[in-house]
Amino acid sequence: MKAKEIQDLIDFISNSGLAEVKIETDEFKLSIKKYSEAPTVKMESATIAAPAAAAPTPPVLATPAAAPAVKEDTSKYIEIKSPMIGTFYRTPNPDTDPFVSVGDTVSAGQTVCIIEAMKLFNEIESEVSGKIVKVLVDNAQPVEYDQPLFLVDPVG
Amino acid sequence: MYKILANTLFLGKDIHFLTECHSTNDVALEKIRSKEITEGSIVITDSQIRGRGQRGNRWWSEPRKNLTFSLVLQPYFLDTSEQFELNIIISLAVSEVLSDYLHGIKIKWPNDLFHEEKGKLGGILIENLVNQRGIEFSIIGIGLNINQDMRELPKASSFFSLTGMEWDRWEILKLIISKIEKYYIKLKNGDKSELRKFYLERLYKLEQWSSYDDGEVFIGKIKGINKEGKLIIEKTEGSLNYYGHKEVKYLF
Repeated sequence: MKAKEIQDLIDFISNSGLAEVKIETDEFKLSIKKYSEAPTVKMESATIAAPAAAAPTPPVLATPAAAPAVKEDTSKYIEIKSPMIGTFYRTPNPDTDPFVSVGDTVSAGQTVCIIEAMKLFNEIESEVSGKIVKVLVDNAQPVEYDQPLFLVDPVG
Repeated sequence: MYKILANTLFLGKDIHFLTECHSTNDVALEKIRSKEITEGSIVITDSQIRGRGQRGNRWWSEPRKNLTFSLVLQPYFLDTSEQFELNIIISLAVSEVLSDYLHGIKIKWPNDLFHEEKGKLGGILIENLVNQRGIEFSIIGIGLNINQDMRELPKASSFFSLTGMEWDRWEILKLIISKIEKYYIKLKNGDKSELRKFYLERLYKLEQWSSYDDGEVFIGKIKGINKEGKLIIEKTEGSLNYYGHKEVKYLF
């Protein structure tokens, strides 16, 4: 779904007199609730990243300060994916700190995790630079080939 | 210092000797990152203070008694899904050299160097640097108990404990290096099936009934490994079971 379509939808709902609308497809879940002041947009991305939600046009009564809050927008983030099947480890050793945590800045070439398979330990390097926004897999969990492991905000 | 070790093409031509270090794999990694070393380089130490087995397991080594070193390879020709081939060539090469000196040497899956009766003689710890293009570098850490007296230990042994005499560590190192290079080149040439065959011939408990624990104790027989290196064990009722590392324990 494109940003323009979301904006149009919000405009339409704002002017419709409906208090709350929920739309759910395989690709996304969109929930719009209109309070007396302004609509709030809450969007959760499922299998695809949600596009940037453009600032919707507020209803006639809204004040400029009451701009809608965008809960989560993952479109501008880049995924670091697993290059192999194995077990995901966030730390170099069981008793040490994680390679990276949410909020950390990573640079291209930096190790972000270890994936172990049959006693072979693979230090996985980030291809991108940016800030870690989310760690998508728990420590010591099995991962599949191409499974997203981290979300990185390239803007940082 | 130690001169060129072996009659090899590229392996061991650049040797970094450290009288003491925490872990040769860690030093090798730092030196790769600072571009001091590259494919073929070896980092070796006489005293490894914080030797590592896998993920935190300690590997204790008495100074100047054993062989502890790491070598650097660039197996860019391997897909990340094929990296078990590294376990195969390294454990095969080392176990063949050990067998020149000692009887009863086996490879305990996936890559332990093992004496049939006396237990572990050494270990291999392979760490790869991986990016989206594949394996960039492979650091092969090898630790072997040579002249350390380990007769008191129940599940480990050494050259000294098995033979009652001291051995020339550099001689053993030379042989290992040239054999690893030989098999590495063979792997690069795509000769995987023969290497797998040699590996299986040396696999501890292959085709023998023995007891194992995969959450439950059972009697089984090792049949081999699959492509990704999982261990295949046949249970008494005839089922074939595939195990990843640490998913099954040998009870012996």
